[in-house]
Amino acid sequence: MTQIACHECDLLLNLPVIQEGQRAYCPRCNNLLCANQPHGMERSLAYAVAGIAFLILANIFPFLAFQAKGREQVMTLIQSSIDLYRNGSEVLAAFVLVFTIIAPAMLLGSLIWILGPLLLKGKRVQGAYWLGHLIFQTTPWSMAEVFLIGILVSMVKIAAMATVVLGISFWGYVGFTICLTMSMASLDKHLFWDALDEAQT
Amino acid sequence: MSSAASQGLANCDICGKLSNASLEHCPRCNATLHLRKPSSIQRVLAYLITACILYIPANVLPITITNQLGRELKSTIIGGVIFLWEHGSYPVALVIFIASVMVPVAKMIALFYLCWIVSHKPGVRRIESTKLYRITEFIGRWSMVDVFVVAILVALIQIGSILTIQPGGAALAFAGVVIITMFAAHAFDPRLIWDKAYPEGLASE
Repeated sequence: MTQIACHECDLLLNLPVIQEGQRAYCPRCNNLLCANQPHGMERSLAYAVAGIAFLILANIFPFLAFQAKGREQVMTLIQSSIDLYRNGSEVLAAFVLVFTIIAPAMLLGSLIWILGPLLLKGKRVQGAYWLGHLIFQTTPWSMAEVFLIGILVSMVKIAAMATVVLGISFWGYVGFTICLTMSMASLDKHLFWDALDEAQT
Repeated sequence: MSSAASQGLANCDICGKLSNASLEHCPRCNATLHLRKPSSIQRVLAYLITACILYIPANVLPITITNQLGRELKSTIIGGVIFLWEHGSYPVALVIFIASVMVPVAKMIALFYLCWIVSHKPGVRRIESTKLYRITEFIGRWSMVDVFVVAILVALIQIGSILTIQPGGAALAFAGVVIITMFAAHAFDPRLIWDKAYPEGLASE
């Protein structure tokens, strides 16, 4: 039994040990307190590694191509930020770069950095608490899935004028988004912090 | 049923460890400890007012400027939705309308309502208010769709002098609205919904 307080209504609770496959909800406000998924942290690490591989793929090949009147325009992922910058929208370019690439990449990188040594050697890396702090602060600002919807909407908008060809990097980004989502969904905050507490430095 | 705050225990916002409120920092993750987010309502209202003001240029200024063979076409958020609707792209028109018009407005109204109910009608509709807060916090980031659409169109459609698209002033203003309302949702402390009365003492601590 650990004494905890519900994050959303501050109810003081005694949380029993949550077995694999079980979830605990707050009895007062129904907030999810803890979800112990089978091998949750291992899965989170595996998805994070796959996610980084997909992100590299998403950055080295053409992302989208646009064909109209016999001319072709190819665009890479990073160009969505670079071209905004070139058009004089520096701040907007920075926002797009952070939300679509930097924040999600930082999330996956931090997860691998912490979970790798933790799961393989039972070791807590230096700065693990600080990085863990960063992971949960960054989560809302990682908008890969929103960007994907943005791509679909742009494609429909362009469809009337031209043909849009999906590049290899586009599929890389799709894989990246799926892995990122799965990685974060497999990680339970409560169990993550407890595991860090138990590990040796 | 008692709250952690009534026992003098502060729940760490980041790692969820319960500690004595007299400690200033969480002994586990070193985040700043407080019983309730400091001056939560005032901060939410300040963010909301900023977002409301930014929402005006976001709708008045053009979001994209299309240059087709020397002809300049400025298009606002609403203008884009109407254009798509008239050209039969109903699903996309709906996506843009929901993400860029309905969600930001509903989010701002919801947060104003939550601030009002917490400070004037404590203890009323707690379950509903908590649900409303969860939805507000969850959907906020999806409004960014339109900003990403502009980023992609600008990068993709650059065919010399034949056809180019440039970002308009509304793109930055609208990104500002989304970011600031996300800050507003984050500044709101849902635990205030469950406190017996608006805790002046707690909020100022």
